[in-house]
Amino acid sequence: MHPRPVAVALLVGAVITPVTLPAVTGAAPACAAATGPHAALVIETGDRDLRLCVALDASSVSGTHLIELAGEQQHLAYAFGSGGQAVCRLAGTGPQGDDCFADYPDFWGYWRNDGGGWTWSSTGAASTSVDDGDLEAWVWGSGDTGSTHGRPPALTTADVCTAPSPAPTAPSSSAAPPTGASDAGTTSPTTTASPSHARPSRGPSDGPTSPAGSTASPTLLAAAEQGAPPGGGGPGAGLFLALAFGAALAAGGWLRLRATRHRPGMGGS
Amino acid sequence: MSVALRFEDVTFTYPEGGRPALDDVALAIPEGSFALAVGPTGSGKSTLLRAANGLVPQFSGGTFAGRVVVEGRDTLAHPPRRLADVVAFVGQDPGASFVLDRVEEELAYGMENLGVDAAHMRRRVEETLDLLDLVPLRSRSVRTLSGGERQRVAIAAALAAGPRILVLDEPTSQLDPQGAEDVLAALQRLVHDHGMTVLLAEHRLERVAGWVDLALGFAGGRVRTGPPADVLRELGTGPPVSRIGAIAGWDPLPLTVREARRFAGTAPMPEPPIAARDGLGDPVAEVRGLRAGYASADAIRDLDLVVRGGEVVAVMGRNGAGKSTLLRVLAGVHPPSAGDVRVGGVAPRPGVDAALCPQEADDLLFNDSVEAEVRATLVARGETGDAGRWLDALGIAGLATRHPRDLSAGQRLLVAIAAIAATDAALLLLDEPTRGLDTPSKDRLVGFIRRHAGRGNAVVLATHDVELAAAVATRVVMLAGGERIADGEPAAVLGDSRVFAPQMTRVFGHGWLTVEQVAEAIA
Amino acid sequence: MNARSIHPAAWIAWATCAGTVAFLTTDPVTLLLLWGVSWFVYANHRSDDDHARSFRVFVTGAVVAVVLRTALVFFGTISVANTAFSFLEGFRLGTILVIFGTFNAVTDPFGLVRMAPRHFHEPALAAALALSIAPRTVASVGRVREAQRLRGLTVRGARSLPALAVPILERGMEEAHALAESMDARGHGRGRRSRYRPQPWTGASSAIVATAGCAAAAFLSASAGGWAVLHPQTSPLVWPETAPILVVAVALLAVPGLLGRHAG
Repeated sequence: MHPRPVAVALLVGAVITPVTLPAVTGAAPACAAATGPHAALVIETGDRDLRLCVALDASSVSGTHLIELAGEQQHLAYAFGSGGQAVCRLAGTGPQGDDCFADYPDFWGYWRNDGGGWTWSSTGAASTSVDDGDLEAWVWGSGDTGSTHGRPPALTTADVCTAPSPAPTAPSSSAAPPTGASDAGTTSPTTTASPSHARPSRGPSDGPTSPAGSTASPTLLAAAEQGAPPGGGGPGAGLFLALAFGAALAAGGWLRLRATRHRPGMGGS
Repeated sequence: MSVALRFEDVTFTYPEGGRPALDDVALAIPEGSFALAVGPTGSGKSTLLRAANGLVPQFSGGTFAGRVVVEGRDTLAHPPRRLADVVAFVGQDPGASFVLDRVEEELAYGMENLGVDAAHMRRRVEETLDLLDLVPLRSRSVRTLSGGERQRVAIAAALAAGPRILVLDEPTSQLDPQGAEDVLAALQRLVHDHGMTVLLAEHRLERVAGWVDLALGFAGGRVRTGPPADVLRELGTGPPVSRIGAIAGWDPLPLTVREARRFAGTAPMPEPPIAARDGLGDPVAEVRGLRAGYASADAIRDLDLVVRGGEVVAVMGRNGAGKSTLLRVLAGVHPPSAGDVRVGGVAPRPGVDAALCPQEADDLLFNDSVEAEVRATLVARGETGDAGRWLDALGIAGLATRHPRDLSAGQRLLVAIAAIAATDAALLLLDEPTRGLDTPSKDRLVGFIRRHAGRGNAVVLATHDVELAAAVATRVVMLAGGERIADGEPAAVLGDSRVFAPQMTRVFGHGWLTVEQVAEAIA
Repeated sequence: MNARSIHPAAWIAWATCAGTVAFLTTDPVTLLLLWGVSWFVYANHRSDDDHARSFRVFVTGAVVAVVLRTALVFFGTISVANTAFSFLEGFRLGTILVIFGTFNAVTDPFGLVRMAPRHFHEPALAAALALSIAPRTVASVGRVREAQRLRGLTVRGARSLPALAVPILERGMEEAHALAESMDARGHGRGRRSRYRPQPWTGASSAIVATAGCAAAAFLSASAGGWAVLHPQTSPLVWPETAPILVVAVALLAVPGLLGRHAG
């Protein structure tokens, strides 16, 4: 047995990881124009509410792609899990890593509005179709079904996508919610948002909504989204430690194999 | 005296069908017998042995009629494990039965199953290690043992369980003559001193005929029991001393050298024949300063050897002397650590310059029919010739359409040799080619070897079988500790040895090797 | 017998804990380290050539599993994120295979059977026979290849393998059958058993059970408590953050490689 399989494995690992460097804060494209198909994305983290108008890059996109577009256009921080099938983090809320239900009973509830009010979606966001003028909402909280989970506020796409600016304006300037079932945090700016927010009361939103918005926030927010890595020490420490151990194991094993290579063979007759 | 093993009108046919392997067998072996099962290959000996502990029919399937009672227990009423306290079985392939890793654990395994207490087990293991000379091997892994060592361990493991009757199928096949004698002596002591019953099947009758007091003669699935001399005479087979006794009309038929010598002294003998020295051909294989072995030890040290066309060289020596290694080096499958080996002037290419039939001949066989086996070799050579020629050469043309797995061990060996011979390599190498071969098959093999050498090819065979070497070799090379200690005419080399002398030499003196020679002289 | 040799039950504990760790995470750094740990343990404890070769077979099988699982991404949308996800799933599966391969290579399955309680003898025997099939088949392949060489038939990988696969498997099954037969004939499963020289429970065995248990406990705690990222984010892809504590936990699984040399 030679060290080759392990060496190959290490090599493969070493090659793959740099190749897949994250593109978290990749350059965002300019905000989408108000013309063209667009849909509304509502996010209720419990601390903040976000109303985002997102320009679609096709006549119909999936729920997850809508979130991706929002990330590109409005610097919405998001993270998917289960191989891109489920939504784990939005705007800094939600579990890190690949398991979107790590904070169960809290999770992101998926609501869709096709014009007739909010319906709880049982289909995953990767498989839904969002068309021009549709309304999608994500509500963080507990409750396994639509009757127990928090509902988004009653809204229409027009409420969110007020032309020409794609930026969500303060909800108080839009039509008052028709029904009284307004969730907490829709109008009143809940300034219990994380201290890293640069804009206290302007309205719960992410990203630079207008050129006048403080430009420090995206990067700050982005940094905040990532959060401090758990376990302490940052990604570097664990990795270096692992590399050190791995090298020790490889060397030790290889030496041992060499030492025991010349063992008594099968005796002849 | 009570009966250890009784067969009542047993007829058994294997699931594949065909004629019955055991045909209306009725016999009774008294307790304390040392019994021999003898008969041509495929005549039912192995089947009967496996019926003694219920493996036939419980593990083999097939149709079974009649009753087998071993130590008072019906084998159909008890699964083999329920008989394990009274009967122990050692099969033809000792390695197939090993369960555990270390020798001493393997010896204890049977006793563990029987619930023997630890102190008793320890004692029994020590005794059995001593009895079969296995003490230096006690902590070794069974996988690292040679064939002969494995065979002794398998026998020891069966003995350690303390059975009332021990059933063995060719238990000396991989042992050198001295080792075989030690095992048989140990078994006889157990029979005489402890009343154990032993039933063994053996082809090399010269090794066992003198030890047994009862014989079971097999022919086509039918069995006749009786005193060994009678049974052997009826079968027309026996060790060389019996065969010459039958020819010379000696009565009672001698079974041992000692018995034969009483008759031999009476007849005046001419001078022994001098081996005709035909002109030998050019060197086919040359080995110079050869050193070869395994990681921990050299099996061959500094060996020089030249084999010429027309020679049949028998390489002999005790277990572990380096015989197999030498053959493998000549075949080109074992690289030498030092020295030079050439076959036909070049480094040997296996299957082309030299062809080796290994000890585990079954590893060669993978086709569906005997004929296909030979054809596979021909196809590999790029030949489109007829496979039948090679089957005829070994006298197995009648088995052409049979599936190798259905054949007896001896028949499979002949098929393997045919498959190897079909390479038509100038150097033919045979490693222990007589396991499971009965006398007629051995005669056929001898004829084949002689014809093959007669065509100018060379044959080198490694063997423990003294009688085979006496019959076919033109030259005998003795190895010990990887070095050559004797090399010359069979009459000289074998005649000088106490352990390796053939029976004819022991009876009639130096220069007499085979029954045919003596028969001609006294005719 | 070496006083530092390892009780079979300790090996079972080690394999179970290591397998648990692998099962709980898809962090590539952790998994890769587990491959290294498994190989290190194997290098220090492989029993003989047959088992050594079967380890190689398991590693090859693990690599194949990784490749195949990664290739499944072609059945959906192909993106860097999806490919990474597929790869990590495969990597986890492969790691479990490698751990099992190590276990198979360092233990004697029939030694384990003897430890089974009476009523579990039949299934334990079946399991031992199954476990022995890998090294046995590998040995068969080697012998058959050489035998074919002797005839001048070159067994070259893919082409001749189909022709020989059936006989090799047949032979493996025959050998297993012969072994089962022999075990039965020697009284296996009769009932009351005794032990010749029961494998003593050594300090090394305790140490191994303790360290492996700690490793598994650390990961179970991280999984339940969520204090470490056991499943790195793939969408979008980020550099995995491996908690140093968990790296130490995995390193604990290498302890068997440092203890208890096999005798002989």
